Amino acid sequence: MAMETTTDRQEARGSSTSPTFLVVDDSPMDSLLAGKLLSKIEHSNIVYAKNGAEALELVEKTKPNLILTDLQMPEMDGLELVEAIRRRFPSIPTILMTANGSEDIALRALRRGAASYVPKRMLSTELLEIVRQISQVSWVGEQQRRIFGCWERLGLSFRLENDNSIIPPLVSHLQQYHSGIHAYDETESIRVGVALQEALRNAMHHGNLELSSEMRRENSDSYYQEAARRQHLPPFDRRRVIFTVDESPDESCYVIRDEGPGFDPSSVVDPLEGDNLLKPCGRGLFLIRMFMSEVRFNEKGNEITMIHRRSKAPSADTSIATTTHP
Amino acid sequence: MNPVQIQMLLGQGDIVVLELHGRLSRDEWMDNRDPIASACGDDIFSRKVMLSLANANYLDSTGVEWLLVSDQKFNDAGGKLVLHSASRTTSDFLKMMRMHLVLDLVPDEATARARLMNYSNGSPKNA
Repeated sequence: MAMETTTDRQEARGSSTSPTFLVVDDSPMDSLLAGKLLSKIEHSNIVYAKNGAEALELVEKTKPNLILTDLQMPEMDGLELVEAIRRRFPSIPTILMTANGSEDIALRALRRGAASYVPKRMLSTELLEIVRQISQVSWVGEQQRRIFGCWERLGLSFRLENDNSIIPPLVSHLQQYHSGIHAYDETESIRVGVALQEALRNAMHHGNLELSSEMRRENSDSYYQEAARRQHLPPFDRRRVIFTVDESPDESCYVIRDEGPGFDPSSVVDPLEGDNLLKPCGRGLFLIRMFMSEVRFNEKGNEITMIHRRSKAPSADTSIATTTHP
Repeated sequence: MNPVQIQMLLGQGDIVVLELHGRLSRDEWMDNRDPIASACGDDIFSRKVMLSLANANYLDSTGVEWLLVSDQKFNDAGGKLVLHSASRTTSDFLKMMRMHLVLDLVPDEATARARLMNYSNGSPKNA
């Protein structure tokens, strides 16, 4: 069973100037009506199928820009067709034609991946506008995919104050880049996000604000209160965290430098050993080393370089316990 | 973002049922108030509590630390905390940190309830 490939998408699949529309309906009259409306779009090609199974065969042959399908059909109904198209040809939008009273089913289809729906009684007034909107979104998405296929390098640099509340939105911002430029699965994205969050917090709290993890052992609330207090006191208030990101298709390189006195990374305890399980230290660095392909410190210990190399194949096992680094 | 929130559900007998929602990280706490105490009052630590992690969508070292500190607060006050229903990601994370060796972490609500029903409230350690 063929799946849509990048090459398929890049072929002249009913280009935006000569679009191909696939109409799927077991009613000849309804099919003709929909086809006639779509033919008003300049240079359009209309192809027809009587049910979902026939439609799937035609999609492989004709690579339509958009599919307009009825819900109730023999052999394979509209819902099943929507799911199949979403799975096999995710870049082709599908619009459902609904009969009276089937809007609930249409909403289900939307949740399963349909781009929109139009009641049959409103085809003549609504269809062309919906097709125009969906086509525009689809075209933008296609262009973005082309752009992301061309990029070679992305560099970012941030200069941060010692307020750890900025860390989650910053990491989320980077994850949005990742979702566009990399084929990260969700687990990989979470792992990288956790490592970055730990490293940035370490730089702020332990590096710039010189807070010791032992303080959290006594009273974690007072540790965070002290962090808030030191942010505004000299010499801590002038110190910044410099965070640079260097992205390429195969790897991401993150460098985080604080302006504190530095530390000896070898002095950090192993948080998994014996009594250390209950101690409030070492977990952050442990997670960084688990989730990044390579981690190194400068001699002073105030700069960490973390490299994450992209997995070559999609990970079927989402277990975090898998710790093999590429 | 989505800071951690604790929701109290209808309890059963002497068991308090809580659900945790959001990101389990101190980076997103708006104030220094413990989320469990904030939702349930300071005397919650002397009770038997089952806490669902099903809706925890992020966990980092500060979140792990908070779970440890919370567990200790319950132990010290004579109560008992059982964690349950963590997602695969959260559960794997906790096991990777070996937290399953020090926290009471069970797969589901029924197991949590059974564990607490068999538990007799101890005396507070600092009484």
